[in-house]
Amino acid sequence: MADPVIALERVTLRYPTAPSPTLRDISFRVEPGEFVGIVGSTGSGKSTLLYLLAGVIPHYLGAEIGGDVRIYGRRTQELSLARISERVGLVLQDPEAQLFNLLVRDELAWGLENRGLPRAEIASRLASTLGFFRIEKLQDRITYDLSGGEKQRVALAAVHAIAPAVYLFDHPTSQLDPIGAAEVIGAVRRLAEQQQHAIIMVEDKVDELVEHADRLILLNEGRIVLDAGPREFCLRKDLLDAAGVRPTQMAELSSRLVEAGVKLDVPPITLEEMTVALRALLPS
Amino acid sequence: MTSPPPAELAVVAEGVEFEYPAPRRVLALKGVTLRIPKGQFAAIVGQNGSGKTSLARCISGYLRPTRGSLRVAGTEVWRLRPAQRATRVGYVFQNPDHQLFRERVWDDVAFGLQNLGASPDQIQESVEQVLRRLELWDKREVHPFQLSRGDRQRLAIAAIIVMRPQLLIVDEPTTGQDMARSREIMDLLARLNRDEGMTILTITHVMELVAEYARWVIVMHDGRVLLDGPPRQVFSRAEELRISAISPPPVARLGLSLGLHPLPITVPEARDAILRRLSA
Repeated sequence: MADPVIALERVTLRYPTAPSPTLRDISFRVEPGEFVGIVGSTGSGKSTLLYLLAGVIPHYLGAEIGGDVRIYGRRTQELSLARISERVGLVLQDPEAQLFNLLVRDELAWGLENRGLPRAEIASRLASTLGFFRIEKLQDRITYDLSGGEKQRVALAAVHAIAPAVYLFDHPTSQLDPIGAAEVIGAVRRLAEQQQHAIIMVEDKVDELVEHADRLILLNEGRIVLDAGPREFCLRKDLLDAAGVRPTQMAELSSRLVEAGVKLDVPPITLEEMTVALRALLPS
Repeated sequence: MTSPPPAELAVVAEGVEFEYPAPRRVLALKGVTLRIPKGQFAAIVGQNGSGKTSLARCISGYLRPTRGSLRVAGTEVWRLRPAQRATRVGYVFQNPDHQLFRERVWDDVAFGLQNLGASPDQIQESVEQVLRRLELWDKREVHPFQLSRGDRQRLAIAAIIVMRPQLLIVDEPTTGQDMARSREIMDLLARLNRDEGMTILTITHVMELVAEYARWVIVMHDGRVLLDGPPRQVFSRAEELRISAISPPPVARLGLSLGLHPLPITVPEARDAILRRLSA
């Protein structure tokens, strides 16, 4: 069998000045085309995990690492950051930290120019990326003049232009309105489904992950406490409460209805499921 | 319905238009008329680009309306000098890093009062009180950029409320915060509203928080107010909300599709409404 895109084996990580490890005994694998959500409260180690997967740690930020981090079977410690970044694209939470060119189209072309791609290739990738994210109208705008949501989409598009195999997202929709967020997550879903990219997304909006992710990983104080499909994930109220994470509103409602004695064979976790289940139960 | 007398209104906007200057020349507000009574906890919602932040900045006095009138506590706010304005309306930026710039937490909070010409004793007392209240007292000597994002957000709020504005505007207080932190900030705003009678105006995309905390919702669309009213009433107008790309919280959408009355907007309300229907 081919190597998984990403494989972590008993990974522990401690920052030089920190009294205790930020990540403890982390093991998981991600296959091509898989969309994995990572959830946890502030300080649970989510961002550290992303930086580790992106090679930012240890190549840019130092840390003491135990265990094995592999991308396509190669240990990230042995690859250069440049090599890692050809395969792994990181979209930061704060788009202002990522955008630095004056014009949107320069921002999108920057990574490609740095790879020394021919002009025609750059132009065609630019056009397809603008179309994929529906941002054709933004291409001549000044990046720092964009709204927060627009910046977020441009930052994502700039990574897409490089065509990495793995996408890492740190809260990609934090500044988007619900429709914009659904559009971005929908586009990310297509990256996984149609183009077989592996997606790892840190996101607080469990509602959105549940609709699109294949698996969700729950981090609590640097440990993986749950790695499960969306339904099982949402219904582990004990683990979610302990980690300070709320499931979807519908999963919460399911739990409360079951507590009150309502019989739900398969507890609904999405609005569609809940509507169907209750229509069958309620007198019309 | 009789309108409250002007003194009871925190914000009165009449036909407010705002156009960003050249080269952009975007007409961000196309005639906004609204009233927000004193002591209200209001939320502005709407798509990216709908005019939420432009409206909030006009109300704060940072932007001067191109047309129309905008009064805060009875006065055209952009006419006020910064020192007068600061005690009427405070504006907390979406990104706390745009606002914090001093070397110590304490200095960031003291800065506003120093500019208002407060005495050293007054400054000492007010800064301490606010830092304790926002649980930042132990971090008063720390450099703001060493704080966590949640602490920086609270510090940005502290630096504004220390000037005791009657109206506090908070732009996207929950961006980049997990649900627990978001609730902490909303709880803090709710306490300022309840205990000190501060009028709160917040901009947010998180409809679950609007349903739980706000008593008034203003839906912006394309530079205008599309709808305003109490959350339950606004969330029940699904057709109109669709225009603005606002989606009510999932429990409210469930209530709409099952025809639950009154419309539940929180999880406990939805559970109770369903149990009532089941036992009927």
